[in-house]
Amino acid sequence: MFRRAAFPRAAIKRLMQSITRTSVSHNVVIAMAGIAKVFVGEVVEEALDIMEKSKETGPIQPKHLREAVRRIRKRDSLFRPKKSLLNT
Amino acid sequence: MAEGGDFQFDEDEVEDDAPLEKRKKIFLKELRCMMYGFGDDRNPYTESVELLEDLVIEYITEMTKKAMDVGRPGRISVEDIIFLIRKDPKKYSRVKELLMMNEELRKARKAFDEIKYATTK
Repeated sequence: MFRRAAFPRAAIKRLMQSITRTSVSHNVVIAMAGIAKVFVGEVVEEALDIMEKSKETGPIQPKHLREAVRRIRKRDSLFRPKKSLLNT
Repeated sequence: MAEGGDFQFDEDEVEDDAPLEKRKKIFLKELRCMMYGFGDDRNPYTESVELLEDLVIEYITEMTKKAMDVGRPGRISVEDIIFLIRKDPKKYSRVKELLMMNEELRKARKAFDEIKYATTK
């Protein structure tokens, strides 16, 4: 049987609470886990797109992910990843 | 503080983060399955999974910090998150869907418990 992949809520909650230093409600964790999964989908799709255009095959490589994030960031001003994450 | 190139770089936020190589890997298993589900190879490269985990943690961190500035400062409510993603149709509709489903589950559980209570009195 297959299950849909999802981020473990406990881990998301722990991560958020380490940043907020306050308690984070159930609904907020659900929302953030959902958004994070959409984010992963967008990055993976973009990376696959990049690979297809350059006729590369095989599993996605870090360079594809980095380029994908660069392109997504141009469209979505909300997310500014640390520059060090994108250095090839 | 502007750097050459496309990215703004908040130096205030650097001090809280562990160096990338030392960041604990918390989502690897789930991320691997997720990547396959979204179209990657059945066996994604480990280095890709690890990079993606760092990117996800970065994303959640940024969103969390921004949400704290919205609405009541220092607190996060669902409304804050919804406000942040209001212009992103995919994320916005997904969050609305999740919260609606969650509410329906909650009502269903409550109704179930009430029936259980009524029939075991």
